[in-house]
Amino acid sequence: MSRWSNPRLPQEEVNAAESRPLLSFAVMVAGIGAVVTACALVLALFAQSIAGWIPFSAEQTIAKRFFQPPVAGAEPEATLQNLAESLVGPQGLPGGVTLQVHYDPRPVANAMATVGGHITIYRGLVEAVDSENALAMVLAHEIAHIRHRDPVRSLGRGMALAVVMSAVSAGAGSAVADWLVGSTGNLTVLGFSRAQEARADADALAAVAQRYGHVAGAGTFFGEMQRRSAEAAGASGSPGESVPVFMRSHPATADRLYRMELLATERRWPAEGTLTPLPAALQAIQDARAATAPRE
Amino acid sequence: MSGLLPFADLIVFAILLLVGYVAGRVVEKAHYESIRRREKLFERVLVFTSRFPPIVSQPFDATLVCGSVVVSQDYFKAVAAGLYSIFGGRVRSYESLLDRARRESVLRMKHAAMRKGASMVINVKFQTAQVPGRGVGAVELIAYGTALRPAA
Repeated sequence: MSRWSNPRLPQEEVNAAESRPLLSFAVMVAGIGAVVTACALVLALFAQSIAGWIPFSAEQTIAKRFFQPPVAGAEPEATLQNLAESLVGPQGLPGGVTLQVHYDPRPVANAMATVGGHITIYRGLVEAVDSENALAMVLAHEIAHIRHRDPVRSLGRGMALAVVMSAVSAGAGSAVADWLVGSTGNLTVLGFSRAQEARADADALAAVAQRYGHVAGAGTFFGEMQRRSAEAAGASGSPGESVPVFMRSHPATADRLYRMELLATERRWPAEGTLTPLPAALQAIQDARAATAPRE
Repeated sequence: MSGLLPFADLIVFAILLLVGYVAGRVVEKAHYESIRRREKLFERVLVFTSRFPPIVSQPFDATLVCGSVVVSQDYFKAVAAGLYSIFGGRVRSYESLLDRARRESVLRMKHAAMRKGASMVINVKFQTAQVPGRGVGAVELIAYGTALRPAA
C-alpha cells in the first residue's frame, strides 16, 4: 500500500486566483459608470437639440401645470410687457411664440425666463437699474432665451438626465425630475449653457441697438452686478450667499462685458447716446425704495 | 436625512454589498483553513480516478461512498459575477467558491470512506448541480466513488 500516496493538492492560487476582488470590482464599476455617463451626455444633448421642435402650444400646456405667476400689481407688469413687446422688433417671434412678462415684488436683483414664454422681473432688478436701456438689455436677454426655446431645451435635457438616472436608481431619477420641475411649482432652476447665454447676450444687444439706436447704458446692470459680487467676495473671502442671485444663475463676467463691447464695435452700434429714463410705473418703484431706505 | 430618501434603493444596495463582502471574506477564510486542516487529517485515504483497483494481492469489499456539499455565493460575489458577465473574462469571484465546494466534497467522501474502514476510493467522479435561487444562487457539488475495504 505504501507504493501509493495522494498527489499534492493544488494550492488555492491554481484554481481560485481571486487576488484583489475589490480592485477588479472597482475597475468594472468605473467602466459601467463611464458608459452610463457617456449615454447620459449623448441623450441629454440629443434631447436638448430636439426639444426645440416641441410646438409652443405644447410648451404652454407644460408651463400651465408647473408655472405659478407671482402675485403682483398689474401696473408694473403692463409696463414691462409693453417694453418687452417693443424689444421683440417688427419681425416678431417665430413659431407662434408669445411672451408674458411678470413682476415679482421680491427684493432679489434677478430676471428669469422659463417655459411657456414666461419672463419674471424681480423688484430688486428694477431698483438696481439706472435707465430703461439697462432694464431693456436684461429683458431682451430673457426674450432671446425664449426666442431660441432655451427653457424648453433645458427642460428636455434635464428630463433626459432624469431618465438615465432612473435606470440607475428609481428614487434618484424621480428626485432629479422633481428638482427640475420643482415640487414647489416653479421652473426656476433651469440652467442655460454658456453658448446659450452668449447667444442671448448678442441677440439682446442687437435688440437694444434696434430699439434705441445706440447701446449706451446696456451693460450697466451687468457691470453693477459684477461690482456687487466682487464686493461680496471681497467681504466674505469667497462668493457665498451674499453674491447677487443674478450672478449665480447668469455667469456674468468681465469677459462677457468685453464680448458685448466687441460686438457693438463690430456692428458699428454707437456706444454713446441719450439714456431713456425708466417708465413712470417703474420709476415709482425706485422712488418708493428711496423713500423707505435712502441710499448712503 | 430626508435628503437621502430618494437614494434609499442605492443605500440598501451598498449595505448589502458591504455585508456580502465582509461576511463572504470571513466565511471563505474560515472555510479554507478548515479545508487545509482536514486535508492533512484524511491524507491516508487514497483517491484514484481509475476504474480498477491498483494491483495488490489482498481481496477487497467494495461500497459506494459519496460526499456532497451545497455552497452559496454572497451578495458581493453575485454582483461581481454580474459585472464579469458584461465585460467577460474569468469569473474570479466564483472560482474560489467552486474550488472550496470541490475540495469539501472530496473531504466528505473521504470521511465516509474512513468510517467504513476503507483505505482507498477508486473511480472518483464529480457532479455539480445548480440550486435555484436569485442568479446562480447556490451550487451543489457531489463527489462519489467506490471505497475499497480490505476483506476480513
